[in-house]
Formats: sequence, structure tokens, C-alpha cells
Amino acid sequence: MSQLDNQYDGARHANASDGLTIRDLTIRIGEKEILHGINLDLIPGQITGLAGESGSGKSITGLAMLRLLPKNAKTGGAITFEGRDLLTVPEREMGKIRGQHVGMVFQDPTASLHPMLTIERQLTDHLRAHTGVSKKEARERALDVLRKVKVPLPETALKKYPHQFSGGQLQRIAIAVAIICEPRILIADEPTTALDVTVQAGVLRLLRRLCDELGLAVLLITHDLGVMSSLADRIAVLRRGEIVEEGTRYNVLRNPQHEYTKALIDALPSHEGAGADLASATDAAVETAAEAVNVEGAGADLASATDAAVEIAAEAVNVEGAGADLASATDAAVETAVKPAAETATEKEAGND
Amino acid sequence: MTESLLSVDDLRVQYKLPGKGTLTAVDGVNFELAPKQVLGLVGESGCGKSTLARAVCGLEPIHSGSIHFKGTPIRTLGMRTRPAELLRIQMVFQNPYASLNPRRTVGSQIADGLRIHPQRDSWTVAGLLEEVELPAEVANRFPHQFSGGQRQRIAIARAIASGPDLLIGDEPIASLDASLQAKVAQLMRRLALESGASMLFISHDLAVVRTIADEVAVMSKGQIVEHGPVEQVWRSPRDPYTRRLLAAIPAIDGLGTLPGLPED
Repeated sequence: MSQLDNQYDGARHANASDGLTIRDLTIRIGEKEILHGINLDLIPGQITGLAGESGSGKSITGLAMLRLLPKNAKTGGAITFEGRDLLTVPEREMGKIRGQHVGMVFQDPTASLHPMLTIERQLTDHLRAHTGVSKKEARERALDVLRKVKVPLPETALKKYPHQFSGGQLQRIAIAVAIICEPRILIADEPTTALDVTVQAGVLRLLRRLCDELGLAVLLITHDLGVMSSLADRIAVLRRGEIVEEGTRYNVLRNPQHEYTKALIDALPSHEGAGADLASATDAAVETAAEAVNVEGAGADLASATDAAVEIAAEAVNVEGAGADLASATDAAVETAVKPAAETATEKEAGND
Repeated sequence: MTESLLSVDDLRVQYKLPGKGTLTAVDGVNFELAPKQVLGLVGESGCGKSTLARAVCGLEPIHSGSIHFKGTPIRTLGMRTRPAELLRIQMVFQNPYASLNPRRTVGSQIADGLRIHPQRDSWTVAGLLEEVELPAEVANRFPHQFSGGQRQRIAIARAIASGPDLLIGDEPIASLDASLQAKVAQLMRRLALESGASMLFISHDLAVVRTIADEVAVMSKGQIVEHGPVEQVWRSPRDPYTRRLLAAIPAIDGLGTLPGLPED
């Protein structure tokens, strides 16, 4: 398989050069090498998963793409985006790319949003700085993007502060902040780890929808293989700064080759049989319903037969009525025909007198 | 029928909201926990499961109803020493970064627990560390020198050290890596049962609870909506909320199945 033209589970072809490519990336902080040369492709409309335990180097990979590494970090290799190497572009240029072309969602929305600024400020400040749109237009865009991430009552939400929202709503707002400048790359670093399963499900659905609708190239960083299985098109497994396995979602999770991937999967509680009886009960219910429909169909025939019978009967009645009319008409006709004749006859008789 | 270790009867706990009004966090909860049983308590954040755990420990004033531990009613703790019988309830909190004292060695914190154990010499610090799969020599280190998973093991060792009859875990695995969660949960079950304790295990993750609990209670909006043997609840959930909770667990099927219901 060529590196640039990958076949994804979603059965879509896309070229990695339209997105972002990481080649042989190494990161050294002080004396310690944290990443030992990793390769990764981010492709528009695709979610690329980066899995691994805490301390494996997942988050630092995400930060390197925004060049938000600590000062003493030394990097090697290349991160290519729009023909430029993000590791070497001047800081002024990087400032334009950061937030505008590459957005990021962090794990904890209570920490990534400013507690003392309204949601409107947090959504529009960087939008206006990057694009120079008017305050009014920025507000429109903010409302738009809040609708996109399905925050209820966007108008009132703009005036509120982060502490007035629940964790799930805040993460939706954090996603809105990340996508308001319409970036091409979205880095989501453990986006649902701080959330409850029920809330997580909604945020996962949102990320998938945004990726599909906006054609975002998403890097999903998480230790949760359940989240990976729901979202990622391709998965790379990172261990101690090295990618030990990379492939399609199905292959990595169903047919893992590396011992470490197998151990990660085995460590998770099984999901098997959840609501199994319920599902089979539903199946049974569906079957019964189907049977009921059949019965109904039978009834329908019967009904239509009855309808037809009624119609025929009605027609018959009409005919009868028509006959009645006819009969009375005939009577009338007879009468009219007979009366004048009779009258004429009487007149004649009188005339004859 | 064995006598229950813990019985909670029509418990209500309310909070005063800023301004006027009250929030009933726990709204008429009943359950019993038999000796050497593991009860899982699941539900989403804000459903009242942590408040319930805090009330069982005497950390939350009870509005109405009652909690009995080995026949003794539990009252809210004051500033005085905790009654001796309530020392048999121990808790493992969600965040091991906050629950361990950063200025004392982990060994001395575990030794605190040993001091109140009824049979003093049944455990040693080294023995406990070994039980939670840490080398004995780490006793002289401070909490900041450990990872999150290791700290939670230390917190578990400290709780077990005092020989509890009831071990409460309030989301003890939520701050850990997914690959560690099931392991730490199983460690808690093993240690609790081996030392003869029951466990009340609170989590929002039904998939993990299923691997360690005998029974599970599902909580929503302050009430227990479903309670039963864990496999029964897992396989044939009756309450719509339980079904929603089960549907939200992402399946690791490699098929890209999105969890939850479409309208979420």
C-alpha cells in the first residue's frame, strides 16, 4: 500500500498531500528522546486515531503539529501541511496556521476555556484576529457554529460563562471554538475522556458528523479503544514513542498483529451480550409485528372486499334509486301524457257539446 | 437470609441551592448490602451516586430516611472522633492526586490505616504494597513520585490496611487509563473479598462494573431505577434509562459503530 493513497474503511480515497503528513518525526526534550521517528497521514474527511497509554507520546505528537512544545524541545523529521514544513516555518507564519488552519480540542473543557470570558468572546476573539471580520459578522458566525455543534439556545449561550454549562455542553463549545475558523485539520486530544458515557456518545456522533460535513482531517488521540472503534478510520498504536502497529480500524482491532495491541484490547472489559436479550426480544417483537402486518394485510383484503361489496351494494341502491326515479318519471310521464290527453278529451267532449 | 451489613432505607439527601430552593440529590433510595458482596452503583454524573456514597460515610447530612451499618444508624460526622464502629467503613476516592497527603511518605500513610485495624498484626506495610503489586521499597517515597494508577493502588492499600468491613470506591477508576481500569477494579474486588469486606463500587462505566460486581444498581436523577444481578441487568435491562446507558458504551468491534442513540 502506498503511503499517499490509502484505502480507508470508509471506502473513500483521498490524498494525504491534501491534508497533513508527518514523516520520521522525532522529539527530544532535554536528554530524553520522546518520539523515535513516527509517520502519520491526516487525510480530509478521515479520522486518524493515535492510541496508546499515558506517557506513550500521543499528546506531544498533537502539540508538535501546532508547535506548542516546551522551549528545550528539539525536533527532527517533517510535518508537511500545504507544502510547508510546520517544524521550520517562521513563528509569525505559524501563528496564522495555529487556530486558523489547524484547530485543537483538549481533554478538559473546563481548563481549555477561559473562566472569565463569555462564550461569545472565546468564539469570536481568534476568529476576528485571524480573518478581520466585523464584530457583527463574527457574532453571526458564532451563532452558526453553535448551531452546528448543537448547543441549545445559541443566543443565550453566547452571553454565558463556562461555569454555567455542563461538561458535555462545554466540550461542544470547545469544539465550536476549534472549528469556527474553518480549519482543515482538527486535533482532538482525548476529547471525551472527561465525559460520561452517555454524554460521550453524543460528542462522538458530533465529531463524526463534523468530519464528514466539513471534510476535516481529524487526528483523534485517545487511550480508549472503544472510542477508537467508534470513530477512527485508521488507527496507529503508539508505544514508548514508536508506532508499533498501523492499519485500518477493522484490522487493528479485529486482527491485531503486535503483542502490545493485543494486550491493550485484552485489558478492556468485554462489551459482549449487552442488552442481548433485549435485542433478541426486539427481534421477536419485530417478527410478531411483521406477522401482525401480514394479518393486517389479510384483513385489508377482507376489508377491501367488504368495501367492494359495499360499493356494489351502493351502486345497486343507486340503480334502485335510479329505477325509482325512472319509475316515478314514467309515472309522471304517463300522467303528463295521460292528463292532457284526458283534458283534451274532456275539452273535446265539451267542444263537441 | 443473612443479616445485611449495610441497609439504606428511603434515604433522601438535599442540598440548598443558591438563593431559594433545594436540590434532592438522593430521592428515596433503598438497598441492602450483604456481607462479602460487591454492589456496583452506576449512573451518569449528577445522578446522586457520589452523594449517596458520602452519606453512607457520614459525610453528608441526611434529610430523611436512614442508613444502618451493622445495625448502627449512621449520623452525620461532627468535628469529634469518628465512632469506632464507623471506622470499619473505608473509602477510595476518585482522584488519588487529592486523596493522598503530598507531604508524607506513602508508607506512613498506609501505616495510619494499620493502626486502627482490629487485629493489628494481620498486615504489614510491605505486605500491603505487595498485594497492590508495588515493590516494598517504595514505602519511603512521596505520592508525587508515582503515576496515577500507582497512586490509586496506594490509596486502595491504605483503605484495606484498616481492615474495613465495607469498602466504598467512589469512581476509583475514572481517572485511570482504559487499559488499567479493569485491572484496578479487579484488584479492589479481590482485596475486599479476601479481607472479608463488602464493597460498594461506584462508576459510570457499566462494562467495568459488570466484571467485578455481584449486583448492580442503576441510578438516575436521585433514584435507583433498576437493581438486580449484574448479568441480568446487562443482558436484559428493563428500565429505559439502563438501556440508554448500555447503548452508550462504545463497542470495540472495529466496525465504526457509533454509540448512543441518533438524537443525542
